[in-house]
Amino acid sequence: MSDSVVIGINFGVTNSSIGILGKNGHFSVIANADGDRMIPNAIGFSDEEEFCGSQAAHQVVRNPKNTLQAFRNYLGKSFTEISVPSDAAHPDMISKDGAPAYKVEFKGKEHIVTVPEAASKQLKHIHEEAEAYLGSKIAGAVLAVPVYFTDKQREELRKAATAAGINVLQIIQEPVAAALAYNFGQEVAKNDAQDKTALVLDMGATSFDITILNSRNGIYTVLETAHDVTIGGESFDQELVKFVAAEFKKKTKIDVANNKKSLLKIKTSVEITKKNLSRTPNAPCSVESVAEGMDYHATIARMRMELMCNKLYAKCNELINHVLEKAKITAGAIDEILLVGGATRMPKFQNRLRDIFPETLIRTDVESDEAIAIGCAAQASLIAGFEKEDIEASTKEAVTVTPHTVKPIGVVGSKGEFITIIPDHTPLPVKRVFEFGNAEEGQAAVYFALFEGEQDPLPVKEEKPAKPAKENDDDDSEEEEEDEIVVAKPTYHQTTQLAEVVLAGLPAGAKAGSLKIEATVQVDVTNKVTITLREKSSGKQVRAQSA
Amino acid sequence: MVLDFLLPSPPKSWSADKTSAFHAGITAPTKAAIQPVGRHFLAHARRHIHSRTFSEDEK
Ligand SMILES: Nc1ncnc2c1ncn2[C@@H]1O[C@H](COP(=O)(O)OP(=O)(O)OP(=O)(O)O)[C@@H](O)[C@H]1O
Ligand SMILES: [Mg+2]
Repeated sequence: MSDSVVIGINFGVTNSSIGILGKNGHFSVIANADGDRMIPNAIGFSDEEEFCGSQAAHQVVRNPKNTLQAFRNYLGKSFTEISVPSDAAHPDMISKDGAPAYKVEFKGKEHIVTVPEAASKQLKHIHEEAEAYLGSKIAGAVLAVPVYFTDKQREELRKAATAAGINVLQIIQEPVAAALAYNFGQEVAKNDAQDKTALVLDMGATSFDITILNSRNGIYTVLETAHDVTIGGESFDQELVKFVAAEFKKKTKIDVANNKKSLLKIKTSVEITKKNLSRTPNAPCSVESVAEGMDYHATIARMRMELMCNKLYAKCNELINHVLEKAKITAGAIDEILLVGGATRMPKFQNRLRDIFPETLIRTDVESDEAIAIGCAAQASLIAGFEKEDIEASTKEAVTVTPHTVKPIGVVGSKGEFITIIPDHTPLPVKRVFEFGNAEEGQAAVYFALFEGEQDPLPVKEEKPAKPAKENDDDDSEEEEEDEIVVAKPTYHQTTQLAEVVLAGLPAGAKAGSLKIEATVQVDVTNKVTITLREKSSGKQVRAQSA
Repeated sequence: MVLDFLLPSPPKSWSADKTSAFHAGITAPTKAAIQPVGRHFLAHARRHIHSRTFSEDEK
């Protein structure tokens, strides 16, 4: 499969995107025939034809009963498990053999489309867009799913993709794909251990997904996740819809609060306004013929939007704090924040992260809504040369489920400080090589002691003096948060001594600093610890292994 | 990784005829799934499937 083309597919609830490896050696997301990089997951039916993607999304206001959207939410679920909105703004859904299916009107007749069929149609459309862009057949694709997807949901996606003519190389997890796109913890220099923890924040249109991801020598382990379907880009749209509807009522005395069609029109417009507000402090909002032939035209200020969405931003931070608590880790233990999903572009969302993480690196060097597709493309390129059976074998539990250390293992420095060599949550087997800068003048033997450690208690937070109550307690604007928040990196202290090793017979008469001692610590899957000390100039070494 | 502190000489009580002593095993590890992505994972999978050790893998 050497010159075969492989792609990454991000099949979201709202949008899909296609990642490829470009001629320049960089991964990127391609545009479809309509010029959109985010292809709306929508299927439209009319009297004449059936269409997918951008075209279908455009007809939703005109023809909502025959426009299918958000079908990924229903994949792998039974009809009784889902709650379906049944109103003028959504297509009718029925149970077909216990599974959810859409009832639409197509070419003047009733037409049933099951959820897997809908997913398959959309995936076929995406695949065709990609082949048209690349001008060649596609040999295979890697797809991503949320971490909370069940085996049944994954299986139904795999079937839908296969039915669409896609050769599914692998299905990976969304935050993990994003981490690959950000190249998080992947550049591990030889003999230089890299241990990093990322907080992956993915806010798409319909949910906010948080993942704490560890990288140990470039291998990822998911530490904790949280998921809230009540926060997402659309919940911000809804606040704007309420605002516009109220303004419209003030101006025209027409109440559209219960008019689904008017609300749908407003929603389509305010989403554009919201996106523009991520770039500019003011943005126009225009809705043609909201109701009774009356238009709405206004300019909305970003500050205005931020005020009306204050509770939503606060909810985002609450969920982040919740997941940190669940994982029992502190904000200071997060090395990088990886932003994923279109809605994390909102400036206020990013600013509010500083309330919890004043110093942490917030990565925005990959377009947030492209990260998943790019990560899938990177994984696809990586495994393109392998036989399918080998890829499958490598994802079996026998390979992926492995023991992880519970406590950090390290040495104690000259000032009594605990220096981590193998951190907690490190998958086994592990091998770490490090070097002690020098030895003392005339030192004949060196002594190496290995310990397990435990995290030091966090400094007690000082109680802030109570502030005088403000009149408008809805607005906790930044200005009042002047106190320096210091989030320290966690530190450790030694607890149990594991081993002592001595390397004697060092070259005599060596000056201070002229000898370098290389130490190798390995822990295998049966918890056996092996320590090797080697003096680099003479090659003299000692090797010791636990029972 | 280079650590910039000296390894001390062995304590006085250390008997010259031994080179090592093991005192305790590490705290019992927990099982968890690693993510099957990226080139570092592929190296892990290769080691696992072919039951190779780290040093064999480096050859
Ligand atoms: N520049 C922007 N500013 C604010 N919001 C944006 C911006 N760009 C996109 N969005 C919002 O991001 C959301 C879509 O994000 P994304 O494409 O990641 O969703 P998705 O993954 O398909 O949805 P979901 O995560 O629900 O499956 C929409 O609500 C959209 O309005
Ligand atoms: Mg998403």
